[in-house]
Amino acid sequence: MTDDIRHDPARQPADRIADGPSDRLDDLIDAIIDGAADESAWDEFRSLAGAGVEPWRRLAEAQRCASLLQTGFEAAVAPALAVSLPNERGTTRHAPRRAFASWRPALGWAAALILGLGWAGSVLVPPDPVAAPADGTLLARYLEQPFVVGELPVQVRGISAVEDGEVITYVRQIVERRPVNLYHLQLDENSNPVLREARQEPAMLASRY
Amino acid sequence: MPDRGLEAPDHVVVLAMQGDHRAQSDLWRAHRPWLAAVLLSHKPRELDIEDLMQDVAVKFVAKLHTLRDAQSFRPWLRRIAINIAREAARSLKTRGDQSIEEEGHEQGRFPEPGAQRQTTDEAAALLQHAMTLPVEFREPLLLRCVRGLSSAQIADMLDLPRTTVETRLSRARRMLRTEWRQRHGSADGDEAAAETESTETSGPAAAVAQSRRGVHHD
Repeated sequence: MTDDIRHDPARQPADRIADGPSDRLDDLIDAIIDGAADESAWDEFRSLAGAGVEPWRRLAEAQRCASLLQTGFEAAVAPALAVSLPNERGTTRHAPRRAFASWRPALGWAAALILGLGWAGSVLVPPDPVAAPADGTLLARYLEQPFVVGELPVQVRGISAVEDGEVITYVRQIVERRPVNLYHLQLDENSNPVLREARQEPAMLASRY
Repeated sequence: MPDRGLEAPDHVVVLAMQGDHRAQSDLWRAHRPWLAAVLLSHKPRELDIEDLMQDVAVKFVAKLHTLRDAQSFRPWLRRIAINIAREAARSLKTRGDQSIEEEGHEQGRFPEPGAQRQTTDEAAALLQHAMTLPVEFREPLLLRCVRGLSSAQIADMLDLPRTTVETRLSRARRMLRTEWRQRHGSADGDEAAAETESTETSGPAAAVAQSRRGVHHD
């Protein structure tokens, strides 16, 4: 969009600085910079310039000045142009992270609930007399495994009524301890890749994190 | 007759006043460029424009429902920006943060010629000088740098006759050019004079060539 300023000798604002040829030249230069100079304005500029270099130098200088000012302005306001409204900020970048973060503590419990329900289902569903041992036998056998440390208190997650009574949903949390072997890739004396067990040094781990 | 080209349609303003988030966002995006120019015109040099813009954004959302007339949206928004800039200036004075002020003056210095980022530095220096102009010249000058904003729209925004805005623009540009010419003329005027004599001496090609070399004579 440009101004509709056109060269019009009759259009001289009342508060122009002066009416001399130099000021007229400045007016014309301003109109040229604004992209508002029509053909007659250019003709007048050429006639004022004549064969001298000075008016052309002033025009070039004015254009250079305007261009530099535009560059400086755009650089200065660029940070402000990235500012969005407060109600926009919540829906852009941080909201998904926040939403996920609020669910994160519940995810562990949800996983435990699913496992617990799965286990409860396997226990409460009438066992196949052929394929499965007696009720609770599998769990008892599992609890005797050397990697089982113990069991945390049962967590009741809900009670719902059904036709013939109530269903209690609860989670049994069993704590296991399993040593995990870590390996790292090394080269042997023949430059062949080999996997070697890594020794975990608590002090090293602590210093790394 | 004010130019309504960049002005938001009244129904969008009304929707925004009623709390429509999409309308508010559209309005904000459309008016953000000239708001930045207003803030730049009125803010203390030491303060960050981004921080002030965020204050304007908060107030824009919080106070939009208090706007009585959709047609006065732009003057209302400009007033908010000016008030925030002035309030920031007052609290800055209260703090008396001289060290920051000195740093701001330091930024206004012109760089040594031949620097790698000469154009950028020159642009920043020219803007710094524009910031020292009286605010009645500075504001229309910076608003004119907003792409798509015409003198008529600036006049409408500032509640001034268009001829007054054009006069102020013209005077601001002349002051800026004079300053720029003085700084550059003093730096390389002699060298440039000798160089000019050996090349073209008249016509537009010579003038453009001189301007590109930063050569100026008065």
